Amino acid sequence: MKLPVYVLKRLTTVIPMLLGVSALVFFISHVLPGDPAAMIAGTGATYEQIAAIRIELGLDKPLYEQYLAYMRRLILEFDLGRSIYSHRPVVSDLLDYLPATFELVTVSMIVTVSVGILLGSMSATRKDGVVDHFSRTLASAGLAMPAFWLGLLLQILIAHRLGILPVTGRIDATVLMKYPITRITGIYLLDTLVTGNWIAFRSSVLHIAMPAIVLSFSSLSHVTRFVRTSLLEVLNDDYVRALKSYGLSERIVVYKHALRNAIIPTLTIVGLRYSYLLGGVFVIEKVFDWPGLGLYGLSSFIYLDFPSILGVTLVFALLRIILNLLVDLSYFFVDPRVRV
Amino acid sequence: MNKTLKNRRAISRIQAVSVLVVIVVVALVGTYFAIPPQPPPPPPPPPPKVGETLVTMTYDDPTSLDPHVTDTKQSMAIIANVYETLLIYEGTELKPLLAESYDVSADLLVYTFRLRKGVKFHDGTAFNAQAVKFSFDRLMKLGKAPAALFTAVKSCRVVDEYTIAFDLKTRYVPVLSCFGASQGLNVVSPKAVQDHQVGDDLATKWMHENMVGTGPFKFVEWTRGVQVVMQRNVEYHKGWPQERFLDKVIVKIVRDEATRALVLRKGEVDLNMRDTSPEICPELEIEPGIVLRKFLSFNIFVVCMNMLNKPLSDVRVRRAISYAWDYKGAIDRIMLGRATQPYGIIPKGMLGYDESIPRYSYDPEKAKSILKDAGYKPGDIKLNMIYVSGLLYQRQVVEILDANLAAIGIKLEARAMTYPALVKIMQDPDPTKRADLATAYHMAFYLDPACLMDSIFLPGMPLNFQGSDNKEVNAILDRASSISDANERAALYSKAMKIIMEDAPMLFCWQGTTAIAYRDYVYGVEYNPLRHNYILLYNVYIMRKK
Repeated sequence: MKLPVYVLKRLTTVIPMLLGVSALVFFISHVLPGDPAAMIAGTGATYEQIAAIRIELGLDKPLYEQYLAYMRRLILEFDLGRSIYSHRPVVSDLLDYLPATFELVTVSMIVTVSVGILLGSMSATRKDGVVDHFSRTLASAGLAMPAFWLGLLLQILIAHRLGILPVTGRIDATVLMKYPITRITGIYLLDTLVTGNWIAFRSSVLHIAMPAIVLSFSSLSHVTRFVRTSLLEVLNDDYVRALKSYGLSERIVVYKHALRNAIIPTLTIVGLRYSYLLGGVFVIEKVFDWPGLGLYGLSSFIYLDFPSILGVTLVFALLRIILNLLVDLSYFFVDPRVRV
Repeated sequence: MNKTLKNRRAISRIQAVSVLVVIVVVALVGTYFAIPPQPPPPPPPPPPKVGETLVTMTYDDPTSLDPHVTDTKQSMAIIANVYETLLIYEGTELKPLLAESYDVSADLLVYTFRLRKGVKFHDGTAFNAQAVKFSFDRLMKLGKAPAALFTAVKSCRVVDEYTIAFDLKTRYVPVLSCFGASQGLNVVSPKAVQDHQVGDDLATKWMHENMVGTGPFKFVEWTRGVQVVMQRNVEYHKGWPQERFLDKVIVKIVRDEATRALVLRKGEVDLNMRDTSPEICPELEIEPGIVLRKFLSFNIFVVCMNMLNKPLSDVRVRRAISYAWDYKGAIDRIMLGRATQPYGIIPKGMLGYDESIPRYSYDPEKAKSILKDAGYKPGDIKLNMIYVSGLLYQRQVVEILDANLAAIGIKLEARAMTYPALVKIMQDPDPTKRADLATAYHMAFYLDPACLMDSIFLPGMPLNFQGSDNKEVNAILDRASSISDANERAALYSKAMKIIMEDAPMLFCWQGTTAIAYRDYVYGVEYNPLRHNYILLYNVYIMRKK
């Protein structure tokens, strides 16, 4: 079917999906044990103080009333409410924390995809060779090693023993103070590059290296294996043998022709992995003090900060939906057969 | 082999791409090396004294920068250096700060403070009695955690421009100590609040992320989740007579304990404000360039027992459990010997500490015989316990307790949960819904036994997880907070503690020590147990060896 029609059809499913997600999360989070009013009041507060805060936050109203009020504000004013914990609009919090996660995950996915495709192709073309065994071992290792453990290990080895890279953070503390980053997108690498803030750019690059490598290592196996398997299948097809018999070099046959046909499953897995990482990197974020959505979501859950919990979940759901759509759209460009 | 069908282009696509990649990589690498790590700074005017930048760290983002709203330790790291209270504790002495002197009326109901003159807020406005009254009224109106210290105060009135009086509802002697608590009455600039007030919110939105106080450091900026920057208040009322001081302070947020040790060892951070736990201490102690100092802390770790529900409502069971716990073994294993068994809830160093208070010892045989005499057979009693997830020492406590209780025939089932969830369960108005056992770390933040005794053992208090309500104890505590003679008070608290011990409402596991780690070029670091997990930086300075 035509591309615009397809896109439109997909987009119409977004709204009901988001409504469903929001209702589910709203009711589940209100059932969890804990009392956000007591958390805000603090350890020494009296019961009267806690009760007063509960009324102030509207937590004493029946659940469906709270939900309706929330949805009304969301749909009419795009207002996700105010975070109980940070006192700021949830939208501001999300705008603060989302770019950090996006930056980290994107950089690590770029590394994963490049290395993964390279290793996967080399494994497929020289099946059971040295490279094949090496890359499969590497991929399994990445899958088996817990990311936070690897992160801590690399911190000790690379940051401390060798002293090459910094231990944690997005940027050096003193650099951030002396050369503040003008906020355009919230992505440090982009913002510093665009404004010519070279000191901060250099510091950001050094700081993103380790967490990105650790993250990409954990995703490597997914990409490598898929590329290898699909490429192996494709390489046995008739047209590949035909191309080879024409005298085209192996490199052209593989990278220009065969890979294109093998890439679709890889695209799917990359898309899935990407959206998973956007939501699930809080362990790496904690180890490397990367102030991203994972950490924010985690502390929202611990403190039962309902508006934040809902905001974070909605953002994740939306990102996932958009990413799935983009992956599906990419099929259009890669595989002409889909366009019919 | 097949040369006839060679590609017609001058260079193949692959070659073109490779060349492009090489060019890009060389360009990036070249840029990297071409940009010098630091541009030469413009020559500064010669400073009269030496001020340096300190990079310190705490374990989480501040909850809020508003001193009337929060008392969490990571927020206090900033608040205590930017705002000030009327009095302040130096060691165990209550010293003047914003108040030069004070009087207590004979009937102990009126506290009058004479304020320091010539003090300015960071926005230039003058500090005076009106500012104190404004701050007090705001604190009480907001009614958050810091306000709980002053519930005994009826009102606050301005006597003259530099004299302020607090009228109490009833006699409550500990209130004097509360004026010295850093997480109590911090004085804020009334003009700043009034200028940024929206409706009648008392500027809570603005004050959440802005600070205007009288302290030695001014707030500069807060990059959420990353760091807070402060700079020296040149016009600080105590002045800067010292030769060396801090010009700028960056408080970085480093969440993981192992990472904090790493950044300190690497030198990326100069001072760790948070206590270093026992298992990390050895690696820091042997590291050259790092100073690790141990201080007595006022933190008492306990395991509360739910006295309102079977089977722990039977005091004999509670006593048996108190004899079953391996006090020394736990201290050696968990705190690596760096703690002591307390005599009740009043820590060593505080009024009312009394080593004549009888305490339980590790005696499993006695525990078993108590249970036997009470008619319980091994396996009769099953207890459930809740503890805070993510903290190693809590897990270790549960493991040891499990073994200790199994040895006397009690079965234990434990569940980890987040701290807010634990608090909610133990504050449940229905005692049958509370867990049988729960961990708790009680900390004193002002130097009066009432800080702990009242908030933990009086009925209806939020920290009274165990459900204590002993009429005799309540009467003694009430009396103890209404008389002024220190010796008489100490005797009363001691008496109350002895009665409480008989009741065995909780396992008093240990009183800990705090270890503060910093680089060896940092000086002037002092830890006060009333200010746990944060450090005042006015006297801190850096002197690097050449």
